[in-house]
Amino acid sequence: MKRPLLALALSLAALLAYGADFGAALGLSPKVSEDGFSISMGLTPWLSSIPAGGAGADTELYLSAALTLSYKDDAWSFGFAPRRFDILLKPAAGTSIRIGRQNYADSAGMIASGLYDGFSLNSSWGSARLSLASLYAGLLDKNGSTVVMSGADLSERADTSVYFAPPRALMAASLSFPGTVTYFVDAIAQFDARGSGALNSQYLSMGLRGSSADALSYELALVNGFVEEEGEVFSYSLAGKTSVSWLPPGPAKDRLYGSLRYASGELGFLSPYLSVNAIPQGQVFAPRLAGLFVTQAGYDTRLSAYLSAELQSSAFLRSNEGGPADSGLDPSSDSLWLGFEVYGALRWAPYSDLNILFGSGLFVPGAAFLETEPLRWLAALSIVLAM
Amino acid sequence: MKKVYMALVFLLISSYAFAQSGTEIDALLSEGILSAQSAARFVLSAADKAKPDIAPRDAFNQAKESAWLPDWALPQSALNLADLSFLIMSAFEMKGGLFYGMAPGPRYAYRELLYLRAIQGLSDPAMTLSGERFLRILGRVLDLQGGAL
Repeated sequence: MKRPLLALALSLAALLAYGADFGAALGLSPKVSEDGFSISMGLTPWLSSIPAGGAGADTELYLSAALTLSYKDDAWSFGFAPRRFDILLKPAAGTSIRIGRQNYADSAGMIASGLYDGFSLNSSWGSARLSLASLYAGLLDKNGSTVVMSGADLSERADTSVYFAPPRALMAASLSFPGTVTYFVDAIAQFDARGSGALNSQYLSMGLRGSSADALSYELALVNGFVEEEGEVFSYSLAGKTSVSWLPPGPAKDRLYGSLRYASGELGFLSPYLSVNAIPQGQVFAPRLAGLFVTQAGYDTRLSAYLSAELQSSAFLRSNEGGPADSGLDPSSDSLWLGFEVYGALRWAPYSDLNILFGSGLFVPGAAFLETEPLRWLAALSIVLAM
Repeated sequence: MKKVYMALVFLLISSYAFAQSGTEIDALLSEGILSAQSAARFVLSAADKAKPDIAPRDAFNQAKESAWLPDWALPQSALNLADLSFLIMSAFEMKGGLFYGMAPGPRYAYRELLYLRAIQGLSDPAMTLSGERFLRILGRVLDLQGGAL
């Protein structure tokens, strides 16, 4: 036991001798909602080093971990997990390889998003940009991962004897053509490493994003999803989104934005869309994108050099079958109207290393919910100090 | 392409009324590792803390007397990113973060320039840099100075 620790200490000392930057982010996040009070305190130490040093450096090492202390449902819990932990290599101009625990997100932002272990490669290929990734979720702390796809995943999440996230692997390839309008195509295959009852899925997505000279930017994406579950018939699903944002002229850096997002439910030849990560679609009411239609509009404004504000509203509709699961939904209701929410936030950043965010929101349940379902609300503060 | 880019950097810097000669810029661009006196020469004049035609050695001495360069630095010493950041932050009288305000020095100066994206690409505080990279960093700082800093 002493030898690995000694080796680690010597390695870190060697890195520091070469020159490394290190620090920590200290976070405090109290929250009050209709579910009660909760608070989370976190310390995320990190170390970044360029072992080669010098002007022509082409390798970077980044290590970080998160220590968290949380209070929720009248109970305290303590957690420790490595976070981003990777090495970046730049073997040639325009090419980079990242190996280790890293952040991954698909081009459309509707399939997978979060930390994974593995490797990824980005390379310029003429006027195109090629990205390849081979990633695995099963070594992540389950509380730090949002990979949830099946009943087995949910059972393991609830099982206190299971520490790790679901054993799911991703193979991803992405081709994009950067320009004033950037076009992209992604092909992603997800494999369940569990032998029995495995749920595998594949995705083919395409889209574009661009901006025009008058501060208008836009995005359009479509995802085809294919799910194979052992003992079930092969299913096909669809998801799409479009968004527009506009920066009004003037010295203030305001932004007006709107988006539409759709994910199929059970309808005709379509099955409920199933992303790899549960990507929340709201701030107060946060269903995953499945059997759902979400419209969102918002406005960001800069009140002063250090203070900015945001107001956002979202409306949620579900499909008849295969929509989001929620304990407050009325099983006898066939209404598609899930409700709407309004969320406002104030961000105060008086210094570059201190960021304070206060957000509050209200969700008004629609006719799809039980009549007794109360309004949902939250008020949350987040203070982050970078040391 | 590199020449075009450097020409743009040069134009940007020129637009802030630098009075360095083309020869000096050429000499700086050919520096594989930036020296303390070259950094002081360009930073102090860009920040209007010295005459545009100040000699590198005089700029170095002025920066050293102001404690903007490390005690150990000699005119020809290689300057790393952290020490260069502190020289820039001090000369331009930049505010910096909470910790920079409490303990001004190379460590938090480097962080501030990273935060402001004046330093881009792979970097660590102990990394030395070329004259070309230094000019790009200084160009971004001058650009920021024209904004809200």
